[in-house]
Amino acid sequence: MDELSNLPEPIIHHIFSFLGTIDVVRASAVSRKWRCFWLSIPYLNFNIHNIWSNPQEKWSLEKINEKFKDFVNWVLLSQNGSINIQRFLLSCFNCVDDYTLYRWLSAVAQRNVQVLDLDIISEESIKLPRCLVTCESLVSLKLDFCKKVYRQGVLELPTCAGFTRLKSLDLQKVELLDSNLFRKFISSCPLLENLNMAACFFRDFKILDISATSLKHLTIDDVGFCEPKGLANCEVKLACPNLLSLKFSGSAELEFSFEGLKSLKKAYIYLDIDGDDDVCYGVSKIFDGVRNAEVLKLNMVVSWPYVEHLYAMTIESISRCS
Amino acid sequence: MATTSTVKLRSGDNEVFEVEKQVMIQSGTIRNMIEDDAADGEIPLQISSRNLAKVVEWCKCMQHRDRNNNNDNKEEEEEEEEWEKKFDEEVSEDKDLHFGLLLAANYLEIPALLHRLCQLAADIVKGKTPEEIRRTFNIKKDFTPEEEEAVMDEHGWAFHD
Repeated sequence: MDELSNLPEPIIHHIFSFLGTIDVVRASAVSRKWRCFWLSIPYLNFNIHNIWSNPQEKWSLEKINEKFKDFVNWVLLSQNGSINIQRFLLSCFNCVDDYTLYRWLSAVAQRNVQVLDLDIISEESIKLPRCLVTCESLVSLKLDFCKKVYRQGVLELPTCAGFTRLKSLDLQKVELLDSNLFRKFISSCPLLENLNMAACFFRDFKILDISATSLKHLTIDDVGFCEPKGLANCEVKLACPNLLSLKFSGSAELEFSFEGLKSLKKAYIYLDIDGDDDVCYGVSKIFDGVRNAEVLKLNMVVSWPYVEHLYAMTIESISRCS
Repeated sequence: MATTSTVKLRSGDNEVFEVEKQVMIQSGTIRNMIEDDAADGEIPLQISSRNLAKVVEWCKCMQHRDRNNNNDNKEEEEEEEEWEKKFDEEVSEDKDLHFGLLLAANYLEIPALLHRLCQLAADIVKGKTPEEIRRTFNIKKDFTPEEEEAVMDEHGWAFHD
């Protein structure tokens, strides 16, 4: 037998894990041994944008969407349901209004999905169904939503407790509606270690409160290209005693209150400073909050009218008074 | 406790490589041996000297990179990138080396190397028709005519877009 087909099955699965599921299905026509790989592969990767080449030349958007749903359904139906799904990647649109998304999520939750990565364009708000929230195998969840170009998609947070094993949560271009619910949600994930939020919109939030004892790595990126800006007029409150690294990118005019970041080792702060801001207060609050860090990288984008020629700023010395 | 700071690896064709333990603990298999004090003599491995040399070279490069992670040394960074690029090219063009290293990385439990090699293999498979895959990897098409018809029926629409 040839060398590739002779590799141990976990290695073949590992190789296929980098491919789209469509490629794995196509490869099943290679030989007898290859015929069944797609039926047992624990990595599923469905991306409507690279299944067919130039599909718009042949079909309408509705038709493409219909074919895509058929394909996902066919694979889920054909695969052995007793094989746990290690990773499920889905990139699509128009799958929320007819509940297709929820059927798929229910199917992968039943198959003990560990890593779930959803990239969805939807006019409708998307809610996390109960079967997913209570799914005990899920360790990593990434949600990248979009309503239309440069507009965040709405995520309805669950009201029930869950995500008992979740370690990583990544929210991109997500619109959140309820600050209280968000605070409860974050602090009720008992094992959450990584939280990443980029270009999110925190609608009407007076306070973004992240209080999580298990959290080790936090990234808040508020310099995205999305409008509206996520954290306008909002207080950022962090109470994470085990946080090791913090990356924050955003406006310096926010109100910061970082409490008890006792374990912090690295802080990367990227501040957007506008001409009218009184930045000293904000910056001093940040310095105060990250005082335990061993590495501090500070980046400032300044748009003061009176330093219009300034393109680099060096801090000559930092004196430590003990 | 082990006293020496190096470990001796004997390849399948009897070449001995003496490598720093700090470098080889990237391998789960060798790390376990060191922790169990079973690494004081030579460790015999069913890996050819050519493949073992490449594994050791890779481990050294990665360890060097991890150690320098916090310095912002542009020159060294570029050197390492260059090395990795060359490694990728060499592996992708040499199937014996590629598959030998895949099995070696699997046996020695070096997840990062295994991951890289699998990705390189996937890059080769990506976008190829079944016939092209067969040709690239010398795979024999062993379907009976009936089986082939069944495959084409079953997946017809996936191939004909």
